[in-house]
Parts: sequence; C-alpha cells; structure tokens
Amino acid sequence: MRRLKPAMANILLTNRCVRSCPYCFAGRQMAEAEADTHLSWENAVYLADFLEKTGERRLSLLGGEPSLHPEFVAITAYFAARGFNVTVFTSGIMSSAKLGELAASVALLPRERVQFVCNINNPEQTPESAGETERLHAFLKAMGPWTQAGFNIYRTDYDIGFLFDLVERYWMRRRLRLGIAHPIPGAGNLSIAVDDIGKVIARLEVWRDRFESARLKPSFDCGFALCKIGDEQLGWLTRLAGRMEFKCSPAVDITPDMQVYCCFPLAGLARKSVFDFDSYRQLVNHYRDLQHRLRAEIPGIFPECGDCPHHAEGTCSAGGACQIAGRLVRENPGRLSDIERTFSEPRLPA
Amino acid sequence: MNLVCPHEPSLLMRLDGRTILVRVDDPRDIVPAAGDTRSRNKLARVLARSEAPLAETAIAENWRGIAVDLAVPSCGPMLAVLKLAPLLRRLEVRVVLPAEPAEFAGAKVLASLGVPVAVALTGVRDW
Repeated sequence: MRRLKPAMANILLTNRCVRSCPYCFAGRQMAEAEADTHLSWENAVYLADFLEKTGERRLSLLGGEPSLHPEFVAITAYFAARGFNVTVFTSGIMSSAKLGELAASVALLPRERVQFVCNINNPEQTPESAGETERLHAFLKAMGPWTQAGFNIYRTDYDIGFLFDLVERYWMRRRLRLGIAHPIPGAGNLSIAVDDIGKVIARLEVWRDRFESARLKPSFDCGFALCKIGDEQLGWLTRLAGRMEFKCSPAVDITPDMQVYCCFPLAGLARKSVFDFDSYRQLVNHYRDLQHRLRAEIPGIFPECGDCPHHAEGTCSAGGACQIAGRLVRENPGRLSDIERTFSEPRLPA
Repeated sequence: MNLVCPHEPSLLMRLDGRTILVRVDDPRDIVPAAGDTRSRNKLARVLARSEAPLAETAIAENWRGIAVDLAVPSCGPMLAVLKLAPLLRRLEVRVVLPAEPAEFAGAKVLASLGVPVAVALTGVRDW
C-alpha cells in the first residue's frame, strides 16, 4: 500500500480577522469561536514537538489574520528557529510597526525558511476594508520577494489582471495560488457551484499571455476537477507551471485552543482535540478516514466521478470532500450526522 | 566537595586547590570571577545573577569556556530571547528562571530550542 505523506498542518494563531470577505469559508468557524483566543506559547511549543515527532518540517500559520496575534512575529520566528519551513497566509494588512518588526526578523533567516501567501482580493470586485490597499502595498513593498500571491475565486467573472502588475512591481515569487471558494452549509458565503468549475478554469485563458510573459506559475488549491479542463489548456498550464494538482486531502486546521478539524469548510464535522492524538500522522489518518467515508457515500462531485479512470488512478480527487459533504446534505439529509456519529465511536485497533 | 563562595579574591586565595562555584551579582563580573577562581582553584561554575530580564542581559562571547548559571527575573520579550538562543547554545550557559507561572512558557520555549534551563524554587516555603 502506498504510504501517504501527511498534509501540511495549518495552525490558526487567532480567530480574528481584519477583513470580511463575502466568500470567506472560515467565517463560520471564526464566528463560533471566541474572538480573543490566541495560540499560547505553551501550545506553540507542544505543536512544534508534535509535528517534529512525525518528521514533519513544514507548517502554515493562518487565522483569521495571523498578524493580529500579539506575538505573531515571535511565534513565526520560533517555528523557524525550530527548523520548520513556515508559510504564513496573510492579507498583508498589518500595522507599520508590526511590519517593520516582521521584515527585520525575516531578513535574518534563510529565504526558504519563512514565506508568505498573500491572499489578495480584486479591489474593483470585492469590498475593501478601510486603508486595505495602502497597507497591502506597504506589505508587498517590504516582503514582496518572500511572498506569493493567492486569489480566491468566488464569482465566474473574476478578474486577476491586477495581480500581474503587483507581482512585477514588488518582485513577488512567481507562483499564484488559485483557490475556489467553497460553500459552507448554512453559512451563506458566496462560492462557486460545482457546475461552474469548468467556467472558472476556462477563464484563465484570458490571461494566458500574461501568465507566460511574467512566468507566473498558477497552482490549484483543492476543489478543481481534472475533467473540467481541456487538453490544450492543461498543456500550456503544465508547460508553464509543471504538474497541475487536482487533489483534496485533509488540510488539518488546528485552532488557537487546540481543536482540530479536517479543513475550514468541514470545520463543523468530527471536530476533536489535538491532545486526542498520539502523533500528527495518526491525526491526519483520522481525517483521511473521514474523507474516505464521505467518498464511500458519494465518490465525487459529478455523477460520472464513480466511473472515472482519473479518479480511480488518484490523478483527480473528484472534487473536494467539502463539496461532497454539501451534496450529501442536499441529497440525503441526516446521513452526514450518521457518518459523524459512527466515525466518533471507538473502533477495534487495527 | 564543591564550595560556593562570593567573588572575593582574598577568600579565593585561602581556598587554594578547591573546586569552587563562584557567585557574582553582575554578569559583567563573570569573566573576572572565572579568572580569579582559576588562578588558584578549580572552577566548577559561575553563579551569576542579573537584575535585568534575559532579553536585556548583555551576554558575551567571551563567556566561552566558562560554565555559567545565569539567574534572571524573567525572560522579557520573546522575540529578543529567540535571537539570543544561538549564542546561549554556543556558550555553556544555563538560564535560571524563577518558579513563577508567568515564566513557565519562557522556560519551555528556551528548553525546546536546546538552551539549558533551570527553574529556581526561591521564595517557595521551606518545609
């Protein structure tokens, strides 16, 4: 049997955020959590030990907006000092004092030790918070070479043209993380319906020349489907960016109070505590098992996923587990609760 | 048997050939105290007390080769402490923190970075 590499752990430093994006898929988790809870130093040390024990050397710091943690810079530097390669997911919106402290600390580290994914909204399509653009530009001016852009797609007429200018102007890393905004059952967030995934991918063609001239390599976050991309388009994307991924695996989000769940969109499902697990590998396998149970009910987001060779061969995950859970809720209300209940019951050891 | 004594040259001269733990109340005295002790005795450690938090204590490269217990009242800002950690590891310094809950996190952080740490039970009721 193929041994699966554990997914990178996402550690939430805080539940607070500076923005209120209409597509936010973390909004429900943050609304239900205590706003002023921050990851403590004791728990940061515990998590570093916990991940190190499994041999994991990568982690992500996120929020909310992680820089709202009062010790954001010190905690980032701590994980780097422990030898982890740290990716910080940020809006870039932070005070000039904190930005100065961050820039001074990161400059002392090897380039690969800390990097940033700056999730940027198109200011013409998404309402901005006060002073957002100025602070974003200040962040990119200081941290551009350590930063790759991220863009969350929540409408089919999305526009990423402005990102190419930012990448050039601020010497940003030549990678663009593209994410699909997933619907959270009951949350009312703006999102992309599974039937629109093809349109979303096809629209990338609009900026093909700019991608190629800027050598900006797009990568797909979870939820993209291989069958919704044509061979010609897959060809130029692969030639530019290397192998494209159509995967969904547990992102494993760890909250500031050490709760854990499969990923933001599935935050309401089978939530546990980090302290329930002996190792990070055991924790990831637990949520992988949850995903397998969901996929045993519905193989994928489209009816044809069950017979798809790409799904059978593991080239495509057949959509995100959250999208499958959403379909389960619509088609068989109550079944998700059954799965969660049986999943929580103690089982015989393997 | 090891003896603990203050950094008092006249006293050290009379303890000729003994193994000494010498006490100083200012980290700037660590190097002179080690030199004075080693001139006639065997130095086990220097027990140094700092009035300032660890982050603000001047820790010097010339402590190399001297085993030091550095007692500080607190860690201070963690970012500054993290910057000190590589130097502390290179030197033979054990950081001694008071046994107060507010300092436990700093003790854990330092220990997890490979810096020797002790927690002093000073002020605890002696049964």
